[in-house]
Order: sequence, then C-alpha cells, then structure tokens
Amino acid sequence: MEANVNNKTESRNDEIMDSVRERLSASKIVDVNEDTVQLVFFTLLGSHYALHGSDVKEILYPRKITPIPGTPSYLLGLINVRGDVESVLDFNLFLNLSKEPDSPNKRILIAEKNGLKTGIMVGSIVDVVDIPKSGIGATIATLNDSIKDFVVGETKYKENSAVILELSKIFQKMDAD
Amino acid sequence: MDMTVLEKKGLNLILFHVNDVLFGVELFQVSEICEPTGGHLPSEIKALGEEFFGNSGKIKNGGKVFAMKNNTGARQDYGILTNDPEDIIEISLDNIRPLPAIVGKLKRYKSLWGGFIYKGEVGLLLDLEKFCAEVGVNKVAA
Repeated sequence: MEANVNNKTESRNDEIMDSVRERLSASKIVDVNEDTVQLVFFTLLGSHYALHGSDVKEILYPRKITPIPGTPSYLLGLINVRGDVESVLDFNLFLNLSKEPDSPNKRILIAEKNGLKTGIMVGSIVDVVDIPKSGIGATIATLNDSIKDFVVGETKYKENSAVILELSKIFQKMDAD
Repeated sequence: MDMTVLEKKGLNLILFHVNDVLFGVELFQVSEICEPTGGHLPSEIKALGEEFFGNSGKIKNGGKVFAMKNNTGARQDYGILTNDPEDIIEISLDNIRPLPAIVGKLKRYKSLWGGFIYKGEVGLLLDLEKFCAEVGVNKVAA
C-alpha cells in the first residue's frame, strides 16, 4: 500500500519536474527571441526591402499629397496625418530606381529616427517579422551603387532575398543634398 | 510673429490654387487685387505658377495680379500674377503647422514658411514679400 502511494507521489513529482523543465526550456526560447530584430518588409518594383521596425511608426494608405515647389523630385510633398503635416518621399526616385507602377497596394510608411520624421511611399507592405540577428548577413556585392550607401545587411523573407536599409543613412544623404 | 497674430490666435489668409496646390498669403501683404490686363498694374509682375512649377503652373483664364504693400501700407510697384483668389479666411493657429524638418533642409524657397490645413487639405503659407525678393522682383527687399 505504502509502496503504491510512493509510486504515485513519484509519478506526480516527475510530472511536475517535466512541467518545470518545459517552462525552463520555454524561457530559453525567449532568451533566443531577445536576440532578434524586428523588420518591416516592403517592396519596390517587386523586390524585397526592409527597414527596422523601431524606425517605422505607422503605415498609411496613400492620400492627397501637396507638392512643394523648389524641392528635389524625390520629395513628393506634404500629407495630412490626423491634423499633422508630414513629408512624403518617393523611395524609387530617391534610390534611382524606375517609377513604381500605380497599384492599390501602395502604402506610406511613417518613419522616424534621430528626431527626423518622414513618410516613405513604397510599392507594398509585405510583413512585419522578428528575425534572429544571426539571420542577417553581409550585403551582396552586386547591389546597385545608388542603394549600397543605405544598406546595412541582407536577410531572407520566405525564400526572397531582402535588403535592409538604414534610415539614418537616408537622412544623412538628404542632409547633404 | 507679431503680437497681433498671437492675440488673434490666427492669420487672415487669401487662398488660391496653382497647379492644384493650395497657397495662403497673409491679407496684410496685398494692397490690391487687379485684372492682369488693366491699366493700373505694378511695373514688375512675377508669374508665381511658372516660377514654382514651370509650364504646368501657367495661369488659366487670365488670373489676377496681387499688388504688394510696403511697411507703411502703401502699394509698391511690383506684384505677382496668379490664379483667382478663392476665399479669404481667418485660420486658427491650431491649423497652422511648421514644415517638417526634412522639408526645411531641402526647400529652395524660403518664402514658403509653413503649412496649414484647410478643409482637410494641406496648404502652403507664402510670404509674398520674401518671394519677390527671392525671385528678384523686389530688388530693394533682396
């Protein structure tokens, strides 16, 4: 009888320990997650690009843009964002790519870094994903010269290669224009 | 900004569109709005739309000439040609916005000094005196 009780207790304790191990194992997975970076994937002319999620504040549908005379052509103009006025860049023009065809998938990313903020018109938004830092590699050498200066790495999104752009480098270039 | 504006908490603006862009000019800067074919025109007139937008900014149906005031309120001998004014409004400071920092760095015309929101549309605040100085119409102010 006593042996039977002991067996039951042992089995229960094993279950508890298994559960504890599972929890510990899960917390290890969380640790791995901490070493990730959030990326916002988007397309320009069908190719995949990404910006750091921490730099993207909002994603908007396209709306009426007020052009500003005497500014570079890549600066499309100003938009009304809930009563605030934000600028919008044409990323294709800025990166010396061909014009993005008209499409209902176009979106405006509101991006902010180091106190500078702007909207960025892109072909479409693909996804917002946490990527392990180990999944980010060096940039391939064949990248277009006009993009190279703004690239901080490359990663994969569902078998597609995606170029990661750094917003502060984009702002630096605009500052120099 | 002068005290009057702060006290009134708003600006009196003349509104007009050029090339589908809404502009607002402070009422006090304009002494007279006249037909471009009249005999009582300023001797120097700058076509605002062509300066800002090239051929696509050409004025349709004649437009109007905004003659300028100087500091004493008297008309000066220069002005701009633009489309017909659409409205004169008092706009609250709550609807006036600074241009985004990026625009401030990139814009060529200092006369575009801010933005405003009117019926949901973003407009550009234009300082006429500064504009004329920038494009060489008002050489004294330049």
